[in-house]
Amino acid sequence: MFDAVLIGLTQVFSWPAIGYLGFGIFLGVWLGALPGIGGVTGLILLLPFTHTMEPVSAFALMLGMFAVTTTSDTIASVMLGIPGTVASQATILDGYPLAQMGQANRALGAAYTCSAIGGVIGAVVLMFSLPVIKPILTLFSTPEFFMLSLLGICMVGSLSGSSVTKGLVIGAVGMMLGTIGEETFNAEARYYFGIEYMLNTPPLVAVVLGLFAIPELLELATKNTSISRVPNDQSRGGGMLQGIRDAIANWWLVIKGSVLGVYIGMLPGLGASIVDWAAYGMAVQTTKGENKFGRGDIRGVIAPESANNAQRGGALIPTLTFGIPGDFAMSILLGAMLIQGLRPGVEMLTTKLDITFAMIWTLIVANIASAILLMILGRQVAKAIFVDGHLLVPVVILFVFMGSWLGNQSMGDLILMWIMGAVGLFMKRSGWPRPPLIIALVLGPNMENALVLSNRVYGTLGWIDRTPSLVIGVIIVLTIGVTALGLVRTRRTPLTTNNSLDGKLSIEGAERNPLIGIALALFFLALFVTAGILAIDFHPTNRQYPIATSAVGVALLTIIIVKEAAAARAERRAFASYAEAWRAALDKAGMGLGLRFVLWIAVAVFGAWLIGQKLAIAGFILAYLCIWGKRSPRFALIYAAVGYLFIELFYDRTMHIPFQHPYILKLIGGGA
Amino acid sequence: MKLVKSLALAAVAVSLLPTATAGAAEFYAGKKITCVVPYSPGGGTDSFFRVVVPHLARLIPGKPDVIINNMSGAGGLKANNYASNEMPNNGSEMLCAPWLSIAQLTKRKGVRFDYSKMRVVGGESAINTAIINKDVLVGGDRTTIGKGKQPLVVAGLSPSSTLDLRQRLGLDVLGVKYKYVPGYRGSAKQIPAFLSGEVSLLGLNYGTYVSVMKSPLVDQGPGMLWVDYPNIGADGGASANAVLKNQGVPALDEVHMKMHGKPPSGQHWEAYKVLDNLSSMGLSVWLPAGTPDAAFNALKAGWEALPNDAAFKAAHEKAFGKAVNFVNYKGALTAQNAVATVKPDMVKFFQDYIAQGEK
Repeated sequence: MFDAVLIGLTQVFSWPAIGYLGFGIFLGVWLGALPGIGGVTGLILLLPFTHTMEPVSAFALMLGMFAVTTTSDTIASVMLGIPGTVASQATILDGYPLAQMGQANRALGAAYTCSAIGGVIGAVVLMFSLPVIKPILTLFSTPEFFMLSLLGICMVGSLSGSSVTKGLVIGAVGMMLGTIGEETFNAEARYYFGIEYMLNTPPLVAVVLGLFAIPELLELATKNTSISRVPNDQSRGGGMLQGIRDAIANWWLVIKGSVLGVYIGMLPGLGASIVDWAAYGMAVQTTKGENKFGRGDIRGVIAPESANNAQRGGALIPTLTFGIPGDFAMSILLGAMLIQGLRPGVEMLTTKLDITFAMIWTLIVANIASAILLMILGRQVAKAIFVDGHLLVPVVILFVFMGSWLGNQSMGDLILMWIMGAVGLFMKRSGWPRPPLIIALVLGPNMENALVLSNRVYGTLGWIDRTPSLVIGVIIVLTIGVTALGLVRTRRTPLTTNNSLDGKLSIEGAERNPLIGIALALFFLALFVTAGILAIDFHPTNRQYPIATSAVGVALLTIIIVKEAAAARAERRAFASYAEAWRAALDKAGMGLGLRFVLWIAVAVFGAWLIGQKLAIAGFILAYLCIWGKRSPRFALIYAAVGYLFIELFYDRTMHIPFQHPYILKLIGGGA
Repeated sequence: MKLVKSLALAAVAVSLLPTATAGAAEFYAGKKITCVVPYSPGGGTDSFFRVVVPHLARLIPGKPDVIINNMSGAGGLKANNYASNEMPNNGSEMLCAPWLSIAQLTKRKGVRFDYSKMRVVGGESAINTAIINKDVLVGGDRTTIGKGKQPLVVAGLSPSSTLDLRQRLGLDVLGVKYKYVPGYRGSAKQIPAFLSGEVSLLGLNYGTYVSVMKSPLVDQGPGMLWVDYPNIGADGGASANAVLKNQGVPALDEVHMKMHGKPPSGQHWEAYKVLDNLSSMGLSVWLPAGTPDAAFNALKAGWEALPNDAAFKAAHEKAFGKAVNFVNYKGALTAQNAVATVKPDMVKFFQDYIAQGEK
């Protein structure tokens, strides 16, 4: 085995593999930094080029790229409050407030350090797990996957900020969204309405980008400020070295996050979309001392960033040893292995062990190299937080539109992104936490599928006494207990700190606006009631889960509406009428400009349908810079032209993404 | 006179032949074709076409660029609907997909495609088999299926999938009792369930068996190849697949003969025969109606050259561990026309059978 370790190392450092690895790292850093692109897109992009390569070179290129996207994705999460990839969603909760305090460099320094350590831990665990993995994997069967999903859903409590009830409702909304489409045991299409797009579960990227990116872009557009709420010369304590020191000081959290990342990566169906939330939840639940989570706590960056890089190594374990792809990215790697003539399983542990170790070395080298590279570039990158927000909005809109489109390459993706953007705006401005929706959307379909299969194989709840399920059940009870204790502790601690910036920061679930909150609650209530009624017509097996979710949602919403109504009445007393109070509430939340911005996005979506994305996005950039940004038409025109060229060269000519056929061409008879 | 006529006809044919080829070559010279695959990258269908595409690009007259576009969604319906209704018919795009004939025949929700209105170019014939947990049998004897210490639980994808229909019909032909559990989509769900003993029978094609399932489930796990689902010839007779026969895996009709002492018959067997006809192409290539003949001929020429191309054969063997088993245009056209010949009572049978699988 030691020979194979050395041969693998030599192969990675031989030409041309090392060249491909370098290129992969460079590409991965770039792809990870652009919101909505990420490692999966990179793998799809590279796959055709690997056919004629030797296996070590092919995987140096693919894994080198893939491993580092979870390092560079921190940039968008910290700098823009928009997840760079699905693996860095949780980083925004504390990373963005740190950037707003002028400490982006500190957050990035900590994130890069943890990413490198997490990535190496993931690779090392992969190395040592290879011979002993079978008993662990065979322990888990469908009931255990249900229990693990349930455990993940329990994290909702610790991701809900100060309102667990609202967090649970949003979790139920996410679960309900996950029931759309035909991912049922018998491929019955639920909530289909004759719309082809509704045959699929809503794609995660469009939901994430809509929910998080649109409200943050609105902040930049309407408040007309840079990301940092403090000027460059007044930012203190935010250096890259401070971040590295933070990571080292929290070494135990780094290790805990990494180990959690490896194990989540190992278990099929959980994957990258959930790993950062789980690590964040773990940090919130287990960290002692002053609790500043959600308000710029560096530990809220350290935990998810350690976990998401470690997850890559973990996910490779079942892929290489059993051909079990833990997530979508691993499916692509598995496909690449097949094309290379590599068979997962015994072969990768015996005759091809050197290639397996070459993959492990690739992960180690890529994680360290990318962290060093990003630290060198970091100072320049972090300057973006002091750039005028109006200059950032157009370029981010481009990535949000194109990132959403990558989901199903359908107008439905853009419409979904827009709807989630509008909902996200209302949620943010009235203190409804958004993370539970994502966690429930990812885990909900898995959980339902595992429950249905378990009940059909073992009989209804006939699996409950299986030992592994019982063990996870105990962990669930402990998690709920720790969350409850944490809540009690949080309630005793005032929400705001002495930080004078608290009112200016984006703190998840912290804003209060009962009138808007009650409107949103009524909207969700209508959604649950309608969904519950429609579910009655589904196949008996397929209706249980949506009806149960709907019932829970309605019950929780009743509590919220009663509470919000009391708060709304108290608010109303300060005004002559409800109409006046409502207007004041909208003003307080800045909804006038907010809705105007949402309307602009709607026009851009409509434009994409009418004239195609390239022209619509370029047109948006031009109009936005002239009208919102008050820039000269010449500057706006050059910016729009660069945007158009980028879409043309990167998304069209390089990635070969099919674009929306402009409807206007149909109208004038120009073909499909 | 006859000789003169024949010579004249031959001369016309010969004079036309280079023209047609030249037309086909000219058509794609310097052009790009998009191969629309209805599933995500990394899966079986995607991997197959990723092996095919570089070689097809080389073999199509005019040597166009061929790229893959993964248009996943709605279990493959989205891309099929697109190809049938919206795909440009100028030869710039083609559908590279599993043949969803059953979905069209049984009017599955969301189907807007109609293969009869499209132009089939060719296909690939899959070898269908299944992996069984040895403990379902007694002493490894395949005729003792269901009598072992492990219950027979079939892991399915969905009741309307061809793979599941074949498994169920096969077991019903044999008269074996089993529990059918659909919903195990993808190897990430199937492999842990099989290894832990939760399910005991898994239908798959031979390519997937060699490339993904053999090592974890057979070499390291409790599985063995169960049966060869034979192809049905034009005369209605079953013919075993040589690849499986060489490994000692019996065909379904042979197992029936050993179990019951007579060849299979009855409604389930008749349905099996129809299903085999409707799935004689595993994967297939289609063009939308109205595609110019020059484009069609060029693609057909490229597809039909593939099975004899040494480089492609080597790449296919490397990836899927088996020889190429292609369906040429003629065979594909026969398969396409077979859909229209299915009688209404058989369609009703399939609809009811699918509904039964949902219970």
